[in-house]
Order: sequence, then structure tokens, then C-alpha cells
Amino acid sequence: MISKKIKGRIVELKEKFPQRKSAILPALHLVLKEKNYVEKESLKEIAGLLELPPIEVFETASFYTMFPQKKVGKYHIQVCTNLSCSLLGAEELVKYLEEKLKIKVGETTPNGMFTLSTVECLGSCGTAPMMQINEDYYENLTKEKVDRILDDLLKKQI
Amino acid sequence: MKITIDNKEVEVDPGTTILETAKKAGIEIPTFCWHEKLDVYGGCRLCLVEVDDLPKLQLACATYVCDGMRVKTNSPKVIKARKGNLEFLLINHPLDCPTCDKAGECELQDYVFKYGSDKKRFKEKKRRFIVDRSQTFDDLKIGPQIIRNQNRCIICARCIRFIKDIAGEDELGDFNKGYRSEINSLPEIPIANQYAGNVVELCPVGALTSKAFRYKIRVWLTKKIESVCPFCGDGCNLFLWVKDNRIYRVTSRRNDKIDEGFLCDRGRFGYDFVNHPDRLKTPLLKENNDFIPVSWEEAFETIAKRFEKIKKDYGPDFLAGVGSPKLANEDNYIFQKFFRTVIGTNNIDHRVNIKNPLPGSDFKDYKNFFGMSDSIEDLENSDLIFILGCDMNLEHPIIALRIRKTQRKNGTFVILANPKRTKLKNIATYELLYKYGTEVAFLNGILNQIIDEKLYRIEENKIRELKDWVKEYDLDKVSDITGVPAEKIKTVAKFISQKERVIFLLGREIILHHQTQDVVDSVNNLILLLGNGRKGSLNLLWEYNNSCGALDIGILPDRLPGYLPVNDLESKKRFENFWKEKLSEKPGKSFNKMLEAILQGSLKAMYIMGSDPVREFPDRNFGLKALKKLDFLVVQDIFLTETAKIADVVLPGASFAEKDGTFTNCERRVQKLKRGFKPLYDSKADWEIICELANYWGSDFDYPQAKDITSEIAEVVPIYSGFKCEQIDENRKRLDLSFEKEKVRFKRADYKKIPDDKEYPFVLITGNTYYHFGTLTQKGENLNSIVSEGFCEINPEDAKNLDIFDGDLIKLESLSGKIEIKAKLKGNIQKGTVFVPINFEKIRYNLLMDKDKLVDRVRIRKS
Ligand code: SF4
Ligand code: SF4
Ligand code: FES
Ligand code: FES
Repeated sequence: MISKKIKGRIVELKEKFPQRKSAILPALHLVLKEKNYVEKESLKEIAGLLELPPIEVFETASFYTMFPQKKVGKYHIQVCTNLSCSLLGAEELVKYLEEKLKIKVGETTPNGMFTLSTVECLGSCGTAPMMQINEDYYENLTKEKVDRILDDLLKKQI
Repeated sequence: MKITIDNKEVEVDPGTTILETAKKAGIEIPTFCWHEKLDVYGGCRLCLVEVDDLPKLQLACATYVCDGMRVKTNSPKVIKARKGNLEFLLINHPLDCPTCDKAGECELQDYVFKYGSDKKRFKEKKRRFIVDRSQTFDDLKIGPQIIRNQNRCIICARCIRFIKDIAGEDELGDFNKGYRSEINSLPEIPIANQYAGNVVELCPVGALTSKAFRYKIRVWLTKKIESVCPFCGDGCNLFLWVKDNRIYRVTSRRNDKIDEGFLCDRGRFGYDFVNHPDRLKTPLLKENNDFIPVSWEEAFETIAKRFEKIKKDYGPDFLAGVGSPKLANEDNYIFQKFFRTVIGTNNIDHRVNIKNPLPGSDFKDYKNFFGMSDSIEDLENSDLIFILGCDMNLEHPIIALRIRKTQRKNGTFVILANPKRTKLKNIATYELLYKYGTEVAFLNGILNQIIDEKLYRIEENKIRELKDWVKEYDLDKVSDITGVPAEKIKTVAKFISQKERVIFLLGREIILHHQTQDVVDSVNNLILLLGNGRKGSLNLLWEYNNSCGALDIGILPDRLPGYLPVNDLESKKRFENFWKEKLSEKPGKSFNKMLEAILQGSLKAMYIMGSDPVREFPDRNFGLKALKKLDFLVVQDIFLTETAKIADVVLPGASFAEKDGTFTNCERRVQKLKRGFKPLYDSKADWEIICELANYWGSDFDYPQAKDITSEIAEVVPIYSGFKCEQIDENRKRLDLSFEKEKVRFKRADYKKIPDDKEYPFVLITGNTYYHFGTLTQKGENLNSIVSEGFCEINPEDAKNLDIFDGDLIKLESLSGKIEIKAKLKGNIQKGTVFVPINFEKIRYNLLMDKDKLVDRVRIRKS
């Protein structure tokens, strides 16, 4: 369910673009900001608010990896597994992360801290392999670097 | 512009793509996502070509040529790119060709075979879209007839572009991205629009298949027969894929003049009535209320004896023949020839579903009833399409698609004037919902408004009369009668008069109207009034596959083939010379008059071919009573229809797939259908039966093949003259009716008030429902598996007042009878009306109808 406040802002968006379709992305962002994922119900609600066929919203939301449809952990780890990153060991990193966090790609740690995803190219091929955690990029990754990053995040928690 | 492509020089117009240029030069460039009837997409990258002076390869499908361009379609660079692309497509492709329905006609197979590499470098595990782990195949049902296997998909998006752009639906989309991309629909919105089946044909690979055809046969074992759809008047061209006397599937035989390579799902999936086990297998003779199978000899003998006796005792006009708008021209031609020459009567008709077929006295007016005056293609050259009394998507799906196209491509305006909300609403500029049966008032209101505001261009002195006739139709009055807001009538009147080329399309409701002539006259008045330079045209859209043919060929009581009056001496002579037989000049009876005559004792025997009046005549009690009173009734059909059940002799005819012949579609295009296999069981082609009967009688109906009849039609029937059977397919011309051109004058048409009835407050509207057409489609499983049941559609507010919920069983009652039917609440039905489909044998809609009522009314009771 989308909150009343956000609903109001989505309706406002409708008027801002020559084509209502263009309001889908900003609407998705609004919902994402509020609760860190955009589940099916919300997608349908967005379609209703923007008076668009639901399929348009579903297509758009599923195209972008930053709109998870299930609740994600506090930190959403998104490892790029596209070409450049893969050539430089992204798949190894994913395996390493799976072992370290004891979850599979697409899952969330039981303490609700980390969710692991793989995503397509994030446009940072020059610093491959790389990952994005929430809004931040972490680049030129190695296993050691990953350890450090996760430790820091955990520390930040305490 | 001059382009050099593979060293060949080609001249093309600006705005041509490289791909089109290559086609012109006869050079093949492989493509996946490109499709002539879809918008350019540029997604598959298979069409890459080399262009001089450009560093990178270019998309042939999306690059426009410029003068002097030099293109190579076969350079080493291009070949390498092509090979690479095909290799990529195969990385994750399951290569399950042995079990794939598309094998043998798969574009991926063909292109890899032709352009691909025979080596495979990827050893990784293939991506798989698992639907159900317990299943070997990853088949996902995404619509009642459509199965998706995502593993085979190459993401060309043809399917999505068709559904979104052409059909205008939002049922199919592209989810996720990259190699995880998949085509899917939302589970709660399956792909179930009336054109859904087209995606199966558009899909270049086996990713989309149809439930009806899949896993049944390998395509290369079937034979492909050219045919024409046996349902609606659009006359889409088909291929029947047959083997061993069975149709396995139907695909489009693209005809750009009509269907542009698309079909509606009725035509695509509705073929299986042909091989239905209930088909009549032998002639049947009624004895002690039971039918016993007899030989053809016996059947002919009985018929000849009984007909002969009635003819001798009472005279030829005590016999009558009923043909069919669903049968071929050849069948109908022989039928009317048989009645006119062997029996000697003009009691011939086919309009069994019309209460009061237009009287034949004023023959000049037939002109407007011939069918469309424009072609389907002409719709694309109009400014405004005005649809009156026609649920286009239900009655003429392919015309509806063409209207969508021209609206999208050319910005053509669409006005809908209907008694219920119809599907084209979402592209219409104006929608006017009037009360059923009030068209004449509505049109007169528009006429009056145009005159009032001086929006016409015709000279003042020419409209004095008209002005007088319509002046009483002021906005308030018209709004009151029709229920259309006055403001809207005003706006629309103005809007129409601003357009230069207006096409009026009149549908089923007008054909069955109690004031057909008046509606047509009013539209003509409107066209004339707009006048001077502006071009308006009237098109009556006849319903059935061969409605126009049945009219043309003279299945009419007062007209010989080609609309020549039976009582015109010259015409009579013409046919007497051809047929070498004396003809009666006394006009015969239309079907409704035949029924009356039976009850008056002046008609004793009837031969009904391919029609089912018990189900179709708009007054079941009356129809049944009359037909039961006949001394002798012969019914020729492919099933034991309700009418056949009360017959004395039943003869098994052959379906459209089992005979050669021609259909004339609603735009009067004569089209040839070919025989897929010989008539099933002991049935015979309808024309063949009549010929044999005539010969049994001692006549000489010498037509070894259907095409001999076609040739005779071309020779004898003036409007069909020059149609050589062999050429029909090549010229695909429409019949030219210019000989009928005459000056159209203003004609007075007044609205006949429909009496109110407090007892029976709901107006009954009937028609086709989605996925079904006429009386035949319910015999097939394919369409029944999508829609198996008919509902009474009722406005939600009315339902609320009556405490009726969706799916409730209700009783509809009229003075004539009552039926039980489930209710469906639908907002597109106006308050005070109900809609009942005509397609289901169980729903005896015509039990509620009374032939003497202008409009049928019912009341609703909860069951
Ligand atoms: S399902 Fe077929 S038509 Fe649709 S995108 Fe895939 S390959 Fe193309
Ligand atoms: S029913 Fe009409 S629109 Fe559909 S395929 Fe047949 S002819 Fe075409
Ligand atoms: S491939 Fe990973 S950022 Fe581009
Ligand atoms: S055909 Fe040109 S990109 Fe697909």
C-alpha cells in the first residue's frame, strides 16, 4: 500500500509530463524512497493513479534493478555481473558474497541487514568489478575490499 | 535517388529504408524484428549491412537511404556480424526443434541454416525459464489459446508491437532486461483479445504457439489450401492446413486489400466445426417421428415425388426455397436456378433473420443495399469514419482493425453512434449513445442542425423541401427521443460539416432495423446536404461471409441474378434464353411472407439450404408454428439444426473446406475458396446436391465442377460479367456497380415512435458475442474453450435496482415467451436495455421476439 501523502504526489506528477507514461519512473522512485521496495500491489496502485494500463508499470519496474519487488535488507548489495565486471571476476565476488553472507542471490540475511542481487551494467566499467550498495558505488573490488566495506557498514550500525 | 546496393543500381524515393531498397533490388537481408505491418523496431540487429564511408555497420531496417549511398549486404564484415548475432541467439536457445511446433517454418532455423555457423563455442549452462519443475517443457499459458515457451524467444517484440500498436490492447509486455528479458502478460490480464492468435503467426520462432494446433502434427506433413473465412462479411483470406480429411490449423493468407495478414480469432480457431463428430453423415428421412438414414437415391425420389405432387395439385407458387448468406455463390446460383426453372417459382429468399426484409417494389433503392460502396482500403483515405448502429469489433473485426490503423497512422477521426458502448470508444473523437431504434430522429436532428447553422455547401434552393421535413426535429425534441445530449448533437453536426471525406458505416442494427430504408435515406440526405465537393459515402456492412453474394446472385423473391427485376420482360428473356426454360414473372415472397403464406394455406412445401430459421427468425413461435404446418420440408445443412429436426428429409451438405467456389465479401470482392478434401462421409457439396436433384427430376443441370458454375455466373449475371474463375485471385477486384449510378435525391424519412411499455421495460438487443459468430462457431471446441456460454448483459445500475448480481440466473420474459440466462453486469450497456447473444443454441433469444413489434421488449425476473 502506498501512503496517502505519496499518492497525492504521484497524482501531481501526472500533470507534469506531456505523456503520462513518463511519470512512471518518478512515481516508482517516490514509492521506493518510502519503503525500500515496490511490490506488485503498489505497482498496480501506481498504474491506477496514473491512469495507465498496469502492464506499462510492470514492464518499467522490472526493467530497472533498483526497484526490488520484495522487501530488501537495510543494505541492498547489487553486484554488476555484466561484461566488463564479469571479465574481471564479478562471478567470483558473487560466490564469495554468497558464502560470506550465507545467502543466495536474491535473498536477504535473517537479521534483515543485507540483500544480495546481481544487476546489469551500472556504467562504471572502467572501475570493474564493482557493486552498488543502496545509493553508493564501490569500485575496483577485491575480496579483501568487500570484507572491509561490509565490516564498515556493520560497524556503522553499532 | 540512386542507390548502389551490392553493385546493383536502384532508384528509390526519399524516405525509403535500406531494407526496402534491397527488397526492390531482389536482395535478401535477413531480419527478425522487422515486419512489414509493424512499426520499425531495430531490436534484433540481424539486418546489419555495410555502408560506404560509415565506420560501423548500419541497421538496414531503420536506416533511410540517401542519394548516392553505396551499400554492401554481403561483405565479409556483414557476414561475420550476422554469424555472430545468430551465435548469440543460440547461446541460450534450447534447440528443442524436434518437439517444437514451429520446426519447418521457423525463421531462426532457416537463418541459422543459411547464414549461421556450424560451430558452437559456448559451453555454459543455458538459461532456462522454468514454469513448473515437474514439467519437461517450460510451457506457460498466457491466454486461453496462447502458450509461451520463453526459452525459445528471441525478443524481437513482434508480438508485443502487434498487441499494443495494432490491436490496441495492453495485455502483453516485455519484462526484466538483458538476457533475463521475457515476454509475459499479467496473470490477472491474460492475452485474450479477439486478435490474440495473430501473435502465434507473427512469432518467428516457436516461443508462442496455440493450444489448438500444438503437438498435433508436423507442419510439413500437412497440405496448405487457399480458402476464405466462412464467418463474417470481411472475407479474410486463409490457408487451411489439412491432412487426411482434417483441418489442423488456419493461418492468414495475407491480402493487403482486406486483412493485411491478420485474422480475428474466430476465423483462426473456429475451423473445427468442420471435423465435428455431429456432422450429418447420410441423407435422413423422417418416419414416425424418427430419422432413418437413407440413400441419396431414396431421398431424391421422395423429394421429387412430394414436390411434384404439390406442384401439380396447387401450382409452383406453393413451393419455396430458402438459400443462405453463408453458402457459396455457386450453391446459391444453382439453388435459385432450380427453383426458377425446375419448380417455376420466384419464392426464393435468404434473409431469415430479418423481420421485414425491404419490399422489392422500389427497386432503385436496392443500390444502397448492395454492400459497401467504398472498399476496406478506402477507409484509409477518409477524414472521418462515422459508424452507425454497428458494434464493429463484434461484427467486422478486421474492418475494426483497419479503422484503428487509419486512426493511428493518418489521424482519421472516428464518430461512434450506437445504442451501446463499443470497443472502438478508445479511439473515437465522439461517442453518441442513443436509445435503440431512434436513429432516424437522431439523423434528422443533425440535418436540422446543419441547416439551422447554415453549415451546408449545397445551394439554398435545393434544400427547401428537406428543410421543411426536418424542421420539427429541434435539438430538445431529438435529445428527448434519442437520449443524446443536445449539446453533443450540435457539436457533432458542426464537426461532420467540417470534414471533406466522410465514410458512413452502417451495421447489423440498421440491417435488422424496423426503419432500414428510412435510416439509409437519412444518411443519404446528410451526404447530399454536406454536398459540393465534399465526398460522403454510405456503406451498409452485411453480416455474413457471402451476404452480398446471396443478394447479387438473386436469392431474392423479386430479383433475378444481378438484381434484374423478375417482372422486367427484357431481363426475364435474357435468363430464359440462357436457361432454356420459361420463367415466372410474378415476384415471389420474402421469407417472412412465406411463413405467413404457410399459415394461410398458400404455401405447402419448402426447401431450406444452409439456414436455420428456427434459430434465426426473429419470432421463434411464429416461425416454428409455420414451418411445422408445412406438408413437406427439406433441410440441407451440415448439422442436424433446429430447423432440420422438424424436416421431413434432411440432406447432408459439405462445409466450406470441402468445396470449391466463391464468396463475395461485404465490400463486394469476389474471392475463391478451394476444396481441402472431398465432402466428409456421404455428404455432397450443396450445389452438387441440387444438380443431382434437378437431374433426377429430368432436367439437365450439367456442371461437372464448381468452376463451371462460376463461369456461367460470369456469363449470365451482369455484375459478375468478365469474372473468369482462374483470374479471380490475380485481380482480386471488387465488383463494379457503376452501372447503377443514378442521381440520389433527398428523401423524406420520419421517425416512427417506438411505443413505451411499462410491463416490459427493457429493450432487447441481440448480436454476436466475442469469439463466436452466427450459429456455427459453437460447434467447435477451440472457441468454446474460450467462451462456452452466453450471458444477458445488463447495465449495473439496472441490475442493482433489480437486486441482480453478476452470474445470477435470471428470467427474461416477453409477451411471446421466456428464457433463462445468466446475467453479466456491463457498463457498456445503456440503462433500460439488455443484450443477448445469438450464438448459442441453448439461448433461444428469438423466443422473446415478435415479428410484429418494431422493437422487442422484455422484463427481468430473478430465477
Ligand atoms: S515471443 Fe516470439 S514474437 Fe514475441 S518477442 Fe519472443 S520471439 Fe518475438
Ligand atoms: S470472422 Fe471476419 S474478421 Fe474474423 S477472420 Fe473471419 S472474415 Fe476475418
Ligand atoms: S560491466 Fe559492470 S559496470 Fe559496466
Ligand atoms: S530487422 Fe533490423 S534490427 Fe531487427
